[in-house]
Amino acid sequence: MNPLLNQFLTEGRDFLEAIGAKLLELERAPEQGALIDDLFRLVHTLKGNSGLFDIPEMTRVLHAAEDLMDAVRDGRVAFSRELADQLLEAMDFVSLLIDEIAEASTDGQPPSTSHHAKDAVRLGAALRELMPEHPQTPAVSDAPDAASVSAGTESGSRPETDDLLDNLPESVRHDIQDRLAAGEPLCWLRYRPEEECFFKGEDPFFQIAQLPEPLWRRLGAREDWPPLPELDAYRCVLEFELILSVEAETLVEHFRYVPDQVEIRSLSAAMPDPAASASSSESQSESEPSSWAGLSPEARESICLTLEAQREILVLSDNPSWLGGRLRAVGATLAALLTSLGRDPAATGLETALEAALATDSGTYLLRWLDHQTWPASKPAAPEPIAETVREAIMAPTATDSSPATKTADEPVKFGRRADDQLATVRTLKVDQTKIDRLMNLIGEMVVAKNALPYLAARAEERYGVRELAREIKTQYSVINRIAEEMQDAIMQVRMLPVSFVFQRFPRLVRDVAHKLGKDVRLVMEGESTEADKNIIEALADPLIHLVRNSLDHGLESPEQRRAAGKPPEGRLTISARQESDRVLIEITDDGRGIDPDVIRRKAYEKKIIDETTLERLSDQEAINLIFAAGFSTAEQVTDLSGRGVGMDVVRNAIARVHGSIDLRSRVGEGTHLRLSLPLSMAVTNVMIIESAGQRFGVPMDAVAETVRVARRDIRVIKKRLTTVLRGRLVPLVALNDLLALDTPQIANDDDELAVLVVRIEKEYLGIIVDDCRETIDIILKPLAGFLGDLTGYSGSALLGDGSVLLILNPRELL
Amino acid sequence: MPIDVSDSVLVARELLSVEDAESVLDWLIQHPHGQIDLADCNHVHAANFQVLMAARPKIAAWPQRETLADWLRAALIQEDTIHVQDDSGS
Repeated sequence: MNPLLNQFLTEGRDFLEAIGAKLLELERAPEQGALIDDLFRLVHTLKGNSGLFDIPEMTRVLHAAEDLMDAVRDGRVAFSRELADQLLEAMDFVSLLIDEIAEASTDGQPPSTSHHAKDAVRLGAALRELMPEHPQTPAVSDAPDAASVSAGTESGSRPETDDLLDNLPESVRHDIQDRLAAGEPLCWLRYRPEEECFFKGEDPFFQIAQLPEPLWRRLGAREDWPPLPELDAYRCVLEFELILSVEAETLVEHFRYVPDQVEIRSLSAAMPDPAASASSSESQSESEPSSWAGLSPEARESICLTLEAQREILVLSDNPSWLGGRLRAVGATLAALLTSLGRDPAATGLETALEAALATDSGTYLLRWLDHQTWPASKPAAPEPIAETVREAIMAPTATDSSPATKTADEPVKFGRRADDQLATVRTLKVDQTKIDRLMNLIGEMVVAKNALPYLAARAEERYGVRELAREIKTQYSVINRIAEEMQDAIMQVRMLPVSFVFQRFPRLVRDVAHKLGKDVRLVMEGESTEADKNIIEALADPLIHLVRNSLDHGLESPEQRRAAGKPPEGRLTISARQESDRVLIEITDDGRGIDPDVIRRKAYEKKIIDETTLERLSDQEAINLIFAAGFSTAEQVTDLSGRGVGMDVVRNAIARVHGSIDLRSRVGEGTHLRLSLPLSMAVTNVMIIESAGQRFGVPMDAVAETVRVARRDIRVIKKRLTTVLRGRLVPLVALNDLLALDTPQIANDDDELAVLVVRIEKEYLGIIVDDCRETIDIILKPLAGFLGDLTGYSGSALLGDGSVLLILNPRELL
Repeated sequence: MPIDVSDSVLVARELLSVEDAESVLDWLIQHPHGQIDLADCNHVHAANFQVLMAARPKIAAWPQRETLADWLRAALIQEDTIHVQDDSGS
């Protein structure tokens, strides 16, 4: 589904809920001005949003509601119970539309809701009636007229149609009769555009010209034309009248934006001339399938009676709870009738009509279907009253549409009924993040509890010597392990956000910054749909913006400089994201001037970040990495964009905080390439358990390069520091007990070898001497809180399967 | 400019927009016997329809586009004669 529409639907439901709550609150305390303001704002926003889509019915009702709320806000109308009822009903209607759109919408376009047009007009009028002055009085007074799209049952409107048809030229009348006899659907349409329509950008003639060629047309004016000098060309008094060969629904759809300005009447059998109807019925019987010829007059009559009964049922305007059953019964009867006439019910579209009827909770569709079928005509001597009712029903095929409208007089329709039984349709949940976090914590605990099972198995075997049981526990463990992992995975999915969440602001940012700096930059973004945990994505936002700004400010040159360097004037900045096993890689590449290691060296020396000896020794790559050092800024000129010297070290720390790493490559004149590697999720950390001084600690596996046993005699002291040679490389060693200020020596094993955990910190290797290295486990890392939060040497704690607390070391901070 | 005027004939091309209605009206007021040439006109905004219906000028040439011509005839000529008229060639 179109994301915009999706958002509208989700938000729309929220708005409706809020509006409903506010209305109820207002009922309790009607004097609250603030509440009314809120309510107005909600309705106003919802109306505005609905205008983005092709849902005129919704917009119409909301517009009326908004006007009414405006009147209430200005004190022109007192808030009353009826007013609240009416508004609530309007909101139920809107909610019904939203549900319908949500159900139907698959291709990104909201479905047509034109079959609700009449309800919309009625609700709109009802809302406006509550206002003291009716700014759209014509609309209201037109309402019965407009509703006569449907309100054919009103005896008044029929003769009018007849008159109109009587006025037709003879030739047209014959043509129409012939076409009707041939079963063509004909409609009479009158379109009276409202007077101000030109100011709304409407072109009524364009609307009309879009219709197929009419059989008959008349273009008139509602009043006599004044002398030319007094004519107001922009006050529309036109009146179009047409007879077209189209279905009434098509016309309703075509004029769905102005349902109160058109009058549509289906001419199926409505020709008033008795001779005409006789001839049409004659021609109808001629066109009957031959299989019907054998029908006895009795059979014909009973068919007619059955049909008649169905019509009467469908026309019933009460709205009982068993309406669905009633419609199905009609459908079944009709299907049986078709079968007995030797026709295939499926081929006639009966089922579609029935479904539509069930969906709309009204018999209209079935009735229309009935009208469009040819049935065996009953004997001319059919009982008069029935013929009369048949005729009536045929003449006003949309009469049932009006059943809600005609009913309003005594008992308003309740859309609220839908609100009661449609609860299950909400597909999206908006959940507070803390709830998800709680769920995640619980799953974390589950993982920990699960980890206790192997301990148990080991104990069963070692302590109690029941190997069988140990094996069974292990089998159970693998099952629970699988489920727990899936649960974990599922909750991760919930927390996943696409990187586009951060990326989406870059086009604007790049454009603005580039403009400010007078540079031409083309931004290329790739892999926006790559997903990562919400926390990671959020932590990424600021550093990324910083990096992009840096690239724009320091990396890319101005067009002149670029031309001088023989590069295209337009700089290119690529931001890409992709997933690689359990990490997300984000790369920012520019084709700018690159970083000059010599400049960095000199600056670093000037700023006393490195001393002279280091200066000599540093490789180019190491020099470039110096820009991550605290307090380093190379910009000649401090701009308001970047270059305050807080840049890169802040970036590095922010990335490190979410266990990410950053890698910088640059070639002078060719550009800079930054690569951020981040974990997909921070929820589960794989740690290695080590022992030292009788305590257990965890070290994150992503920091561990290897574990080795180093014989005590291989350890040399160089400049008071312990070192050893590992695979031809000099590795400095530190004892964990020294780092933690524990006053005990490290314990060697029986062969006088010390366990060394080689960790990698910023591409440097360091050996940490521990007493013993144990297994690796998955833990849920909980940051230290409160007073302990200041202890930088630990990245957090975790609960172990046997119930003990494991402190997780942070090697980087420990040193 | 879709409208060309001379002393006696107003020639409208392509589209008579809602803004043009005013100019057409003014011209018709000033030239009560002016004629309208719509041969190259494809669409006439409804506001122009009103002006033409109120002024009932002589149509020098009906639009070549049939749909438009049919409607204009329906609007400007008494309906009884709709089916008789056919002078679009002029």
